[in-house]
Amino acid sequence: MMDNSLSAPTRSAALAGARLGDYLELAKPRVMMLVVFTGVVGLAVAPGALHPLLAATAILCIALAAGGSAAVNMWYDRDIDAVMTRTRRRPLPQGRVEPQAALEFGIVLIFFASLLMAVAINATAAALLAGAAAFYIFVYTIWLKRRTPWNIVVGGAAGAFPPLIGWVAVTGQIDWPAVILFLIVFCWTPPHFWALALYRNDDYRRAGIPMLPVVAGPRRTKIEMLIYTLILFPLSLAPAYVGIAGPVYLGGVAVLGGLFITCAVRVLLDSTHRAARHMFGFSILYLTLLFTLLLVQPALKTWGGG
Amino acid sequence: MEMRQRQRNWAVLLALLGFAVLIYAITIVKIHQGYGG
Repeated sequence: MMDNSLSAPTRSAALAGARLGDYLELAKPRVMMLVVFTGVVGLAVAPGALHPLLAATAILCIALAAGGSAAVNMWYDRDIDAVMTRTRRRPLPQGRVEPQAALEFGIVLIFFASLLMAVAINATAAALLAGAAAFYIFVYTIWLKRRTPWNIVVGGAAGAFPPLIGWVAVTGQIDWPAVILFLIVFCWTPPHFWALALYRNDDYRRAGIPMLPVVAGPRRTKIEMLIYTLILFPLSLAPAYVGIAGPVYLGGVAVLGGLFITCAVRVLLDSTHRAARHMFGFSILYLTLLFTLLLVQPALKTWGGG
Repeated sequence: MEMRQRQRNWAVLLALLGFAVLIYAITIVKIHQGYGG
């Protein structure tokens, strides 16, 4: 089941030429950027200060663990990645990296990242980092992804960990503001991935992944997407009420939330894939801007004299 | 192919060196802050 379809000579020729760039690709650098960014914001909004070198180390650990998790995910999913248009150019389906090498690469990264986090930062942050990686690999990739349409709802928790880990790196404990940041990313994930799944429906169907549009149809999916964006709206305002954000954030995020809900309504009313494509793009912009707005208050504290 | 192998060896060596320097710097910072305190 896990074997991909490349012929033996093609494989061996390709394997000999595995390059560093291929390993970098295993770490899903674009996903890693958003993960690292939300982690940085978690660090920035947390009360207290971390030595700059230790802060940079914490970020490095988050990036390494995220990259390692992505590599193990690609190792496990190499059979379905070969079938899907979106993923068939990845290093494993193309035979540019040996599956065993990808697995080892991923495990080493996660192990070192967690160890470094424990030594340099604190045990709680390290435990959360290792826990997030384990959750992504065992709960999302291995258990849920191929079995249930709720795969990305539950699995989305893995991607919601970075701001929490950033916070815990500074404070050493889990507090409400950090939980709110976790919940924001958690509720953002389903509409984000379902928008993608709506216009990549055939791809997921062919690969046999039970994404919600495949199992329950587009209409049900679009209603669920709208529900999640509606839940996200009040949740996104919450940081302003727990003291980690101010009026600039509140105003900005209210506009962003309104736009995100508008996107979901347009997806619901649109019978083509246009609105879903648009919403997928906007969802990335939404989360990036939301976390950028969270940086306003720490920035004012640092450079504005309070 | 030999060139790529050599490149990879250098990359691994540099990564290990970077890691060692980082651990050293972290140790200095931790001592400076009063480790465990």
